[in-house]
Amino acid sequence: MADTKMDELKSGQLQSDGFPHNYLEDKLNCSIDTVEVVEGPEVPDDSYQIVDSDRRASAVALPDWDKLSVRGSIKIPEKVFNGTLPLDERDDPPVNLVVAVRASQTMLRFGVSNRELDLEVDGEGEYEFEVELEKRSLRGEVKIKPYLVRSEPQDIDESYAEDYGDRLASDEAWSIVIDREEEDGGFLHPRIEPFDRLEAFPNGENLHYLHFEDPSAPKLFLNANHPKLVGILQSEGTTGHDARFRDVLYDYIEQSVWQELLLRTASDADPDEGSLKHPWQEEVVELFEDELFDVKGYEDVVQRLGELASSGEDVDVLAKEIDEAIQKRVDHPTQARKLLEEGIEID
Amino acid sequence: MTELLRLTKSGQALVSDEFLGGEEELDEEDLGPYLETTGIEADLDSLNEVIGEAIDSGEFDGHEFDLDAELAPKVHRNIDISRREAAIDGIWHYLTVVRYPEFVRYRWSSKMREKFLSGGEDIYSNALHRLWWIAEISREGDDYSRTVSMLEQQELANDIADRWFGRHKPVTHACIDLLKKDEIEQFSPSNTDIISETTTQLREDLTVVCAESLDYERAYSLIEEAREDVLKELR
Repeated sequence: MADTKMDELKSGQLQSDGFPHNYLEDKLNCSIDTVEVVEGPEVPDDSYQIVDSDRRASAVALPDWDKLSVRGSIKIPEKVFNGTLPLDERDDPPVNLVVAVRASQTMLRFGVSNRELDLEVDGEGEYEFEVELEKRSLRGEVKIKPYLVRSEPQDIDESYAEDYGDRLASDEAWSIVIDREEEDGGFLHPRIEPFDRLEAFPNGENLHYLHFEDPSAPKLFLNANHPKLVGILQSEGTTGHDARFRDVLYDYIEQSVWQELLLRTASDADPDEGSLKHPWQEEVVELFEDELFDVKGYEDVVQRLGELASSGEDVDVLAKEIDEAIQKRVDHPTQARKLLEEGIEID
Repeated sequence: MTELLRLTKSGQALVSDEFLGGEEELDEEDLGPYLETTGIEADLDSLNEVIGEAIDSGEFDGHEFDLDAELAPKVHRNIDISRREAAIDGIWHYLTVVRYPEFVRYRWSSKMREKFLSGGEDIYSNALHRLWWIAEISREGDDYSRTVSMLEQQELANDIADRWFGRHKPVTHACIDLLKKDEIEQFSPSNTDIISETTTQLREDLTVVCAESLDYERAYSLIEEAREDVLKELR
């Protein structure tokens, strides 16, 4: 699932077309200009990677730091005020600009508003912000997302947002990478190796391989003999043709990988005890619990998997259930459509 | 002070059904190659005492929520680490598998692997990770009164810990202050219903309101209004 969609689900955010009032998602224009160490050793300027097109900045290369200052600006076009506020309010807009900071691995959310930045948001313009990040409160990645919200209620016109804090407009989040991801060949972190040089591996032309040398810890490998495809799979962009193609390619790999993992899980499931052999299998069942079968509950799903796998006659039923469950989860049409739309835009 | 080691993913494979059922134990020697140093220390001697007393007293037999409320502040005080450090799952796996398996089995009487080995962004999984993070998101400095209030009611603990809004302190604090036992026992609907419906309403409200725009007072007003609406519906 793309990071932005995960953010939306975590924050309970509706799609903008399902909002009770006009909410102009992605109509603010937020950019991050500098990332500087404010507590920690001095570093040369080229330690900061600010990659504008990917909406991503990385602090990974910075030596041991305690506090960072992230500075940027948010452009608010006039159409945002005109589109989200009653006519009577547009000359003196009752709004706050909030920069939301979200660090999911450390269970942290906070906001920095224009009041704290000593800024008055009084109309169209560009507003600068600064957010301080303390390393001791963070791990992995931090998302920074701007919101324009109401600063007081209104009852002038109910077709517009009415309450304090109601979202009026926002922009796509920026990611500040604090730590490099661990590459352990786990599901989300495949290892890259040339397949033709590894005896235990299959056909040297395969793109991916799920290795069960240690059945308790399956590892996903990508074939280094396909450098262009592997390069796209490792890219981190969120927009553009390559990003869309990457997402489709990952969907293809996921379909195959989940299929194999679920079949192995079914094969190891004890239909009488409702138990599995390895912790990773429990995680797989938990992930697909809601999509598999008509039964409810983890144990029932495990039992059903075991029953179908051990029956001999119902393997086709098992295969069909697994395929449907994966397709529900992976949602191929969405990524394929996005790739198609990207191609149309290029044309 | 004791160094907190980190159990690697490969080491999890040694956590067998027999271990979960209490028929075998795993110590640092058994897990040797799967334990990594972290340089992070905690006062496990004091925590040993606190947890041991709680289990041996018998006071908490069948009163799991009271046990949680008793222990969470103490777990947090004695494992005095940063959020960054607490986000290392392997530390919690080491603590539950090697140091405090008896506590995990006492608190969670069925063989639940997740209570030993899960963690991550799911606050409600690993048995000790859960207590620490609930204390962390609910405390105000060294004041853990809200932690106790939150854990005294299972529904309240679940509904805050499981929800993304529970990561924003002003909202968490206001939620606890408005839905703790003393506050809602005066109303006729059941506490569970009031909590469940109010937090559901809050979650819906926060699909429109930006949570990070709310300070404590604003969050309090929003949740108070949600509670009033719920009470009208439930009466």
